[in-house]
Amino acid sequence: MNRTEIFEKLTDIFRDVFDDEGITLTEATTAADIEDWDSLTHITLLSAVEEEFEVKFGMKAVQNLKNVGELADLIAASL
Amino acid sequence: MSIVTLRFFIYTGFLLAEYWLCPARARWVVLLAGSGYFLLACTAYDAGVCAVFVLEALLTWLAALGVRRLSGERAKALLTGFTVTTLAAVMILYKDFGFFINNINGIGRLLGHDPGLRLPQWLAPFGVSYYTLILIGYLLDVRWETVEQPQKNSLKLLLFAGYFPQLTSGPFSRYNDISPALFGNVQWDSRRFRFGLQRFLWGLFKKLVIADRLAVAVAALYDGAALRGLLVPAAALLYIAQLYADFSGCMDIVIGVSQLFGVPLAENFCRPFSSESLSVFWRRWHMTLGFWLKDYLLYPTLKSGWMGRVRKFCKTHWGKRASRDVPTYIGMFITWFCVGFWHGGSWKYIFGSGLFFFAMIAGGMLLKPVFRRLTDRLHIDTDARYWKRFQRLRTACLFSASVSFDRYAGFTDGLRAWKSVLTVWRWDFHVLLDGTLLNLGLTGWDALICAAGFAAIWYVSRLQERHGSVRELLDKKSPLLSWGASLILLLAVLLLGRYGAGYEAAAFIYAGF
Repeated sequence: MNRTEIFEKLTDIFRDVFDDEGITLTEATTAADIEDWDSLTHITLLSAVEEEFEVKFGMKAVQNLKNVGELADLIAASL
Repeated sequence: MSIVTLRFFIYTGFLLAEYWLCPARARWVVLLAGSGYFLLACTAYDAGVCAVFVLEALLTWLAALGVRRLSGERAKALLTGFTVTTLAAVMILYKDFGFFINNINGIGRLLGHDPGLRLPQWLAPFGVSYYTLILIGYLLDVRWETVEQPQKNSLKLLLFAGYFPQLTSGPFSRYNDISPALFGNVQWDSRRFRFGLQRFLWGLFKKLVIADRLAVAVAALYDGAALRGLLVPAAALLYIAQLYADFSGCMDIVIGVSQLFGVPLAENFCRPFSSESLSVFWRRWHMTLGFWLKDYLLYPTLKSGWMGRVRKFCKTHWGKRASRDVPTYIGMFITWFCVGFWHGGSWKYIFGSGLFFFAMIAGGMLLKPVFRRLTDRLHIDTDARYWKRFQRLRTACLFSASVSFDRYAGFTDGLRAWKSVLTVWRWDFHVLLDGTLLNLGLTGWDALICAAGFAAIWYVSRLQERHGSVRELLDKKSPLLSWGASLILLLAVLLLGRYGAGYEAAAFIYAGF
């Protein structure tokens, strides 16, 4: 799976989790850019990502993610 | 030894002199010796109580080294699980044993047979609520490899967990955040030292000038005749004002003292009363406890295997949305229970904390679409300043109501008092105007000082919101202005501070948790 495909799939997951069809993701998108992305929805989001991509993230990665670009890196490394 | 006593100031002065005169590589030893003395002084030189801390720290040190050396995942998980359980069990045993005894006796009485179990006579070791969570956090960080290298020197780990400024009321430090300054080569910086001193004075101002004055009025309200009617919310607002001045003042003192040693401690408050929702408030009040619960309790719970099964079950039976929401509610329920339980073994803390989380789930999540529709129908401009102010006030009131349960003698007393607000068919506004609120042991002068003190806190918050650090702002304008502000603070503390016999201040509220 290349980076564009990862981003396309991630966009679908984000739109689904945050109930917002208007979400567009970039490498630099952070929690500050999406209204409902807080510490609680963060873990819901990561669970959805784990399920859709069939990967498993460690606690260190979960705590230290800075932006969507880093999330895509993590997915690419786990696939 | 309270951190607002002359004894503590002299102790800190001596320790600072030794620390900065000592060669850089040996400074941590000075801090270790100073922290050891502080712990002994705070436990009335009870070596047995201090031994509990030393044994727990040594157990964690060994477990962390073991976790890194073991090769099998199962063995690592078992060792971590055993150590975390032991640490938590010791804390619960000391702090909450009475809670279990009371409940067993209560259930027994309900069933017609009073077991008559006696309450334990022991007191919780000083700082146990704080160093236990710090040690658990360290071990889990090693387990998850957030800490790259576990500390090999047991004495250094003792210092990390027992570093004296954080033992009174936190904050909960993380190893990666403070170990470079604790064990590294910290250089003297006169600007940082001045900033530390200013922060320390600002904390003393909040505690001695404001909080200890409000404490008199709060005690008169809560410790006198049972509160009823409109006095209940009025008392709740006074209590939250006292608690904020007391706890945030304590944090200013602690962080300021630590800054004098060149060790940066994590912030515990970030202007909580400018929060427009409870979930934002939760991230700005007692922040390090919130981060601790999120990283070491909520996330592991939500990521656990059993939660995955819950998620799957919900998805199969109730759909995708439920598979996201139900695990979140379960995680929040567990967090709520633990927050309440950590504050003390009593239903009043658990209920108060539960009320906060309930309002957060109901108002912030479940009813969000309803509120959105309502504001649309009423043509409310949700970006307007008046609406933001209303949201801030609503958030502060909800938080005050939930925290007020901590101040009642028991859970049922709090319930009865709040019930009276709803059941009084005609609200008696007289109690707010007939002098009841003005006759609480405070003079008009005291009330004026409190009001001026809060105006100063509000003004500093506004400056922080616009410019960041106020100390840096003053320093940039002119060092003379910076020194002038320190002098004014010092004079305010000396002249307006509320001192008891022997210049002893009242204990901090959070030191009791």
